[in-house]
Amino acid sequence: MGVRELISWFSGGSDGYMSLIHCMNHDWLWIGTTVFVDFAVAVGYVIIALHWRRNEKSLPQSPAKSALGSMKNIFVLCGLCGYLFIPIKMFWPAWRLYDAFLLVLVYKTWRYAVGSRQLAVVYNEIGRTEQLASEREDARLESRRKSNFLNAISHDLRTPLNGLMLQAELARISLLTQDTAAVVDSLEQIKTCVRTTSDLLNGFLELGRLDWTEQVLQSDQFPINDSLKNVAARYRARLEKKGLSLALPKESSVILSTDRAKLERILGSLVDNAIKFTDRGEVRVEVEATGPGLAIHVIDSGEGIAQDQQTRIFDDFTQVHNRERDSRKGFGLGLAVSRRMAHHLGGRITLESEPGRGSRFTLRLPLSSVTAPLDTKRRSRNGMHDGTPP
Amino acid sequence: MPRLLLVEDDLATSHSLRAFLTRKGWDVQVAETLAEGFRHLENSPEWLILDLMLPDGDGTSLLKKVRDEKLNVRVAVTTGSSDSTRLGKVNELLPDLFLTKPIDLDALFEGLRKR
Repeated sequence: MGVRELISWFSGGSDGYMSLIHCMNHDWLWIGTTVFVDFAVAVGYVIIALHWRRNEKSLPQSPAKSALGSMKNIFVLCGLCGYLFIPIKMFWPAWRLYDAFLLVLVYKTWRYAVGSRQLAVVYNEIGRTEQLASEREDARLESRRKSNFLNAISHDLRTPLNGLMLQAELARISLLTQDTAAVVDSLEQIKTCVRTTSDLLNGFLELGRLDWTEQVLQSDQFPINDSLKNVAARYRARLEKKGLSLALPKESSVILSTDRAKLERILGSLVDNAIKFTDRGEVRVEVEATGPGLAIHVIDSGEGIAQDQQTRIFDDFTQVHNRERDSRKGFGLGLAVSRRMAHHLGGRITLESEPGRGSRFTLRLPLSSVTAPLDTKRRSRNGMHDGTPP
Repeated sequence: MPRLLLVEDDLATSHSLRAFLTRKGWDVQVAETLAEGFRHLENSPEWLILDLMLPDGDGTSLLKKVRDEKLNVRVAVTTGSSDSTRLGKVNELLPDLFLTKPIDLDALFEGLRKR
C-alpha cells in the first residue's frame, strides 16, 4: 500500500467518510469558533507539556520522575486526540487515524492504570520534601540556639577574665609603687572576678552533668514544709535587701518522697528568679494537690513575661529581661538547670505570666513523689489558692 | 588634660582601666550604663572607650550617635561578644579601634597614642 492509499484509507478509503465541515452543515461561524477554541486548548496543552519536559529534564532519574513521565505521555496523547484532531477532522475526515491514536491512548492509559501504585511514590516524595523542610527548619533553629549559647558563654567568660587580667596588672604596678591599699583593692576585685567565673563554670558543668551523665536520685522522705522553710531562710537576706516579702503556705502535712537536694535546688532557683525580676510587692509559694500529683507554685508580682518569650525562658543562657547579659542578673542558667532537674524528678516546670502582672512558675511533681497525705480538695497558701492569674 | 569617656559596666574592668588611663595622663570619666554614656558624651571627650553589652541596652547606639552627628570623638570598641551579627553592625559604623576582651593593654595604649 502506497502513501496515497494509506492516507485515503485513514479517511474511509473508497467509502469516503464525511469531514466535520459537512457534519456542521458548512456553518462557517460555528466551524470557525470550534476550530479557534480547539486550537486555543491545544496551545495550552503544548505550553504545559513544554514546561513539564523542561522541569523533568533537570531531575535525575527516580521512581517519582518515571511515574510523572507516564502521566505526561497520557496527557500529551489526550491533548492530541481531543483537541488537535478536531480541527484536522474539519477538513480531512481521518477517523481511522484518530482511532489509531485512541488505541495508543487506551494502551498507555491501561499500562499506567496497572502500575498506578507508582503515584504513591510521587506523594511520598512530596511528603518527604516537606519533612526535610521541617527538619531543616529545626536544624536551623538548633544551630541558632547553639550559636546563642556559644555567644553567651563567650561574653560571660571573657568579661570576668578581662577584669581579672587588668586587675592583676594593676596589682603588679601598685606593688612596684608600694601602694598597698590599691593592691588590696585589686585583690578584692580579682576575687569577685574569680567567683563570677566559677559560678558560670559551675552552672555550665551542671548543665553538662544533667545532660550527659546518668543521674542517681536520692529517695528522701521529708515534710514539704521543712524544704520550703530551708529555701526561705536561704533567700531572706536578699528579700529584705529588695524590700520584698515571701509568703509561704500555712503548715502542711504533706510528706514528700523524692530527692530533697534537687527539689530544694529547683525551688531555690524559682524563688531566686522571682526575687531577681521583682522590684516591689511579694513572692509567694503555694502548694496545691492536683489529680496527677502535687503542684508547687512560686508566684511573683514582677514585670511578667510576654507570651512569645515564655517557651524561650527555659533555654540555656536565656534571660528575657537581660538581653545585654548583665552578669549581676545571673547567666540565664538557673531555669535551664531547674527544668532538667524537674525532669529527673519525674516532673516538669510550667509558666503562666502576663506582662506587668507577674509570673507563676509551677513545679509539678508526680503522685509517686508524695507519701502522705494528699487531700485533692485542699489547696494551701495561707488558705486556698484562688485560681486567678498571678 | 585630654578627656576620655569610658563606658563599661563591669566594675573590675572600669576600675582598672581608669587607673591605667589616669596614669597615662587622661582625664577619665566612667559611665556604667548607656544612659550615663549619652549624658557624658555631651562633655565632648576626645576618646570614647565603649563596651557593647550594657545593662540598659546596646552600646552600638552610642557609636551610631557619634557617627550620625559627626561628633569629633574617636571611638574604641571593647567587647567580649562573639556574635557575628552584632559585630558586623559595629564594624559598619567604622570604630577607630576595636579590641576583643580580654583587652590587650599595649594595643589599647598604642591605639590611643597613634590617632
